[in-house]
Amino acid sequence: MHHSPAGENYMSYPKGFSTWIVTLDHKRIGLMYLASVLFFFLVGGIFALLIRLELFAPGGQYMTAQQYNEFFTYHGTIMVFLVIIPMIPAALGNFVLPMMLGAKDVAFPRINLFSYYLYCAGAIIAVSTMFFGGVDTGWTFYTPYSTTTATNSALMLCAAFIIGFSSIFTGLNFMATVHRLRAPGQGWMKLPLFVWAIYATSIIQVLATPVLGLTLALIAIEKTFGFGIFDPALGGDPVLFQHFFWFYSHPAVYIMVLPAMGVINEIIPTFSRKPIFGYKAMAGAIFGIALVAFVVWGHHMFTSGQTDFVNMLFSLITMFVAVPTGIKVFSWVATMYKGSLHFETPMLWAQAFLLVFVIGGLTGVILATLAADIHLHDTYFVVAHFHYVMVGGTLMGFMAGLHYWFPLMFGKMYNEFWGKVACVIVFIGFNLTFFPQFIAGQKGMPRRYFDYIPEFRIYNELSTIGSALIGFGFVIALFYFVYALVWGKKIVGKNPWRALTPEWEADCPPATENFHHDVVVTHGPYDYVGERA
Amino acid sequence: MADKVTAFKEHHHAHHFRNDEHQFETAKQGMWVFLLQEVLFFSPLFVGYLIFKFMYFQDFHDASKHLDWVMGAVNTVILIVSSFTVARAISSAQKGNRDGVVENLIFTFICGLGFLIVKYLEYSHKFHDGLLPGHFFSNPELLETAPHANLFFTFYFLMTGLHGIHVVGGLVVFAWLLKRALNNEFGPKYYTPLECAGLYWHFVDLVWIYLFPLLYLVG
Amino acid sequence: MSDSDHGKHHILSNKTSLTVLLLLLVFTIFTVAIAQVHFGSLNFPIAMLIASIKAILVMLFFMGLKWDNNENRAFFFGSFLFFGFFIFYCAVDLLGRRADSHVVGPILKESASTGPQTEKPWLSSPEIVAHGKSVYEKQACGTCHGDSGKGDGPAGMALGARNFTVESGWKNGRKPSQVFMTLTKGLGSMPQFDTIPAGDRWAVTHYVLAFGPDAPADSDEDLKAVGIDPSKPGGGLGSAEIEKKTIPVDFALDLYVNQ
Repeated sequence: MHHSPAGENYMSYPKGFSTWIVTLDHKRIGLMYLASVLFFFLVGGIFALLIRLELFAPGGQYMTAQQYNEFFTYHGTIMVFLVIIPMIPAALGNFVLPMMLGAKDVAFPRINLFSYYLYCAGAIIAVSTMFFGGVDTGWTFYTPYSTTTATNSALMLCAAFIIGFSSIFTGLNFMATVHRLRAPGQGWMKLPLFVWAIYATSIIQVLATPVLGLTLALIAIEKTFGFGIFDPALGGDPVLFQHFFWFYSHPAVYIMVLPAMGVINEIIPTFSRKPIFGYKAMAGAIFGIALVAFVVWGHHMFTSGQTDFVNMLFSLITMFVAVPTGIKVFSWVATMYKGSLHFETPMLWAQAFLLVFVIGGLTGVILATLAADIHLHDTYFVVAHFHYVMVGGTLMGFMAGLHYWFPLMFGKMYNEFWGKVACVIVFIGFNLTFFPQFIAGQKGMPRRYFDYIPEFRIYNELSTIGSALIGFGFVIALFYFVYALVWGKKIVGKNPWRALTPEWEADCPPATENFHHDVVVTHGPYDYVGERA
Repeated sequence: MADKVTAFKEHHHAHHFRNDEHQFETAKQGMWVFLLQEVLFFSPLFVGYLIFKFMYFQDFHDASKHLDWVMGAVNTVILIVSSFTVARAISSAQKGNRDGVVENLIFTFICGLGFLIVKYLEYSHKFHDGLLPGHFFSNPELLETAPHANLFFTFYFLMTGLHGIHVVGGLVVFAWLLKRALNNEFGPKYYTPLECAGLYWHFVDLVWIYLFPLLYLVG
Repeated sequence: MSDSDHGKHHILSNKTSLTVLLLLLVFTIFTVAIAQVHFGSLNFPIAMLIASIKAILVMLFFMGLKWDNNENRAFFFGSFLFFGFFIFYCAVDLLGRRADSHVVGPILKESASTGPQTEKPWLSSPEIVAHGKSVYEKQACGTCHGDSGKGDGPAGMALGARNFTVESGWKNGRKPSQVFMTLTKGLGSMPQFDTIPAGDRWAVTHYVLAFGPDAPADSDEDLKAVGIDPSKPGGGLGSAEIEKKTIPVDFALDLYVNQ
């Protein structure tokens, strides 16, 4: 790669569409991920709105029950595999992680590009299933349904398998990058916490995703050939599938939320102009969560007929997740305490994250309780809980990060006023959508049903109105982002937030080789003291 | 070691590494992380096999008697020897012995091919006897005495099949390495692809080291 | 990072590699030989032990972990830790469940009434009353209702247990069907006992009615009013009711297979 001439940046040099599709530049790959993820966010979001529209009133309105099943399957599969999982690590992480280390690129740029094309291939196959029979299994592919359904679950399984390997290669790349490409002077205790979060996420991706890959392959084989590992008629066991599936899919929840925590870790000290409270505890908590993630998967299976002993064990250990999570929340609050707070848009999204994430986390403790889960399992309570964590946690963390790094990525600034408006609308819409679902679920409304009894009507009406509000908020965001990209004013100078992490030493937008100088780290990432405050 | 001096092609490290050594260590670490992934990739099959083995102990025991342990043992020896030759290929490269690299790679390739031929013979025998996975299972003798023998053969084919795919992948890599070695690309200064392929091949050997006793000996 | 930038690569010597090869071959012969001998349950751990020794030889020497850095060692050995978590939980659950399953049969059988079999359980008989007494005692009804049905059990005062020996003591009527439904659905602080077999509930009904004056008999309409079909044996409350509310996994699997 050549140094960019003066006045050029990574977007303008080298020129031409063909240089983009074979680019090895982590920033360009990050942007390509960003565009793809946002596109699929739109697709998955449309499915969500269609589901909500149908549920506005009891009985069938606009679609058949079968269509409804397929719609929520596509909503789940697209949102989980194509949006939430790659959203922060692959899109934002690809862009900023090497820069936070003062590196010129990730460790394996070719694998990085390969992983992006795997993602594309998987995405295309996933979408193509809509035209080849559809899928109605839900994103969890539980057998025996997924192996006997008339729809084309095998093709979707292939898609998820490929996307899984995209995720593994991203994780592998980041692990080696963090280990090997740190700037001189950047010891582990001087890493920005976003790097810690992405590193922990990568470990989970590398350890857990292969299990999902093989399990999905087994299900596809089972469906196509009937080998019988999960078929009791041939001596197999469907509950084994659930164990395999959740061995990945529970840690996957932390693949989703840890990077969001990483983003919040960056934003809160920067906008409080204060060192982060308890750096080591924060880093430790990230790793604590990542480790515990692997030994709690059975809490998804309390009603699957696990033995009582295993149920008890999983319930107990699940409670422990609350400890590192609590450490993080308290540290964020303690960081803000007596800080000089600036409520610009990224910080506003971070506040929204904090509020909804706490609700999502605490309802998780309720669900971890064995007896309560028997009642709440597979109700809208669960739906509300994981949307509070995934949407409220990951999506809001992503939006916070996108607003935070937008000036770095594009060298332009969005409209601050409309940024705040969108944040407030999405926040209100989000709570309006999902809080009533807690109540409906607690009253016994089962998830994934096409119809419901009239008692639940009010909650579903609120929910649908809320979802429209979320959609409206994101449309506003789309408009001001596009406006900023096309007509926005160029930023003068660098580092508009006066942050201390190394990525801001670059120009906005960065040069092709990231920095004009060799980055040497001399201070901690959050040393907002003295004249740096 | 090398009597004649080979003129090795020069290799330049990528722009984001400080030097060749930095690149070598990073690539090797990436390979280790990949192997970490591989362990977990194989793990569901091992977990499933072990659970069903203890669940249907006698059936699995009877079914495993239908595997030919001689063929399994031959394949074990083949893989161990090929592991050895890969290690030799790497140390040859480190010493600048270009012919040593080429010879050892050829030998490794032949071993891998031999492994697949033995596997083919085994598979065709199993097909002939109706010892097949799941509902394809049609061995009259075992159907009567061991109702869950089909599950054993499901795992047998899945585990050895997945392992076999890895062997095929290894062969492709070795063919590519051979071409590069013939082109004088691997010397003491640069042999990263050899090192990484070696790690991968040893891992394939490791899997077989466990598969052999699990399936053939104590099944 | 910088620690390995100037490291010298270890070169595996011919001697070491040959020794390792030889050891691996010896262990292979050893494991084949030992598998021909019957050690019963020990065969498996022995075979795994030998395999692990071979594996460690390969890792340390051929893969060079002996000379590698700690990060790479931690990665590879760490993966086995997670494999351990994985197999531990799966095995404990699935094999544990199988260990439970021999208990499942008797529980299901017990949940059918062990009392006298009758087609019209709403009619009293000395045998059924006697069986009712045993259920009454087994379910510890006396804790509230007292041993003689006077509502003077230890907890009866606090919960307001009725006195069955007088006609006014019956809140929901004294016809057998009405008492049966009270037992099935509960009433006020009286809990529901729908988890015990219908036959047992009928037996208890007749037993508690026998505490007081003769009870009025049920007409067919009375029975139908509470969902009992007098034309069917047992009132149509047959075996469907004796199944437990949560069914064991293996039972569910059997049902699925039989479909």
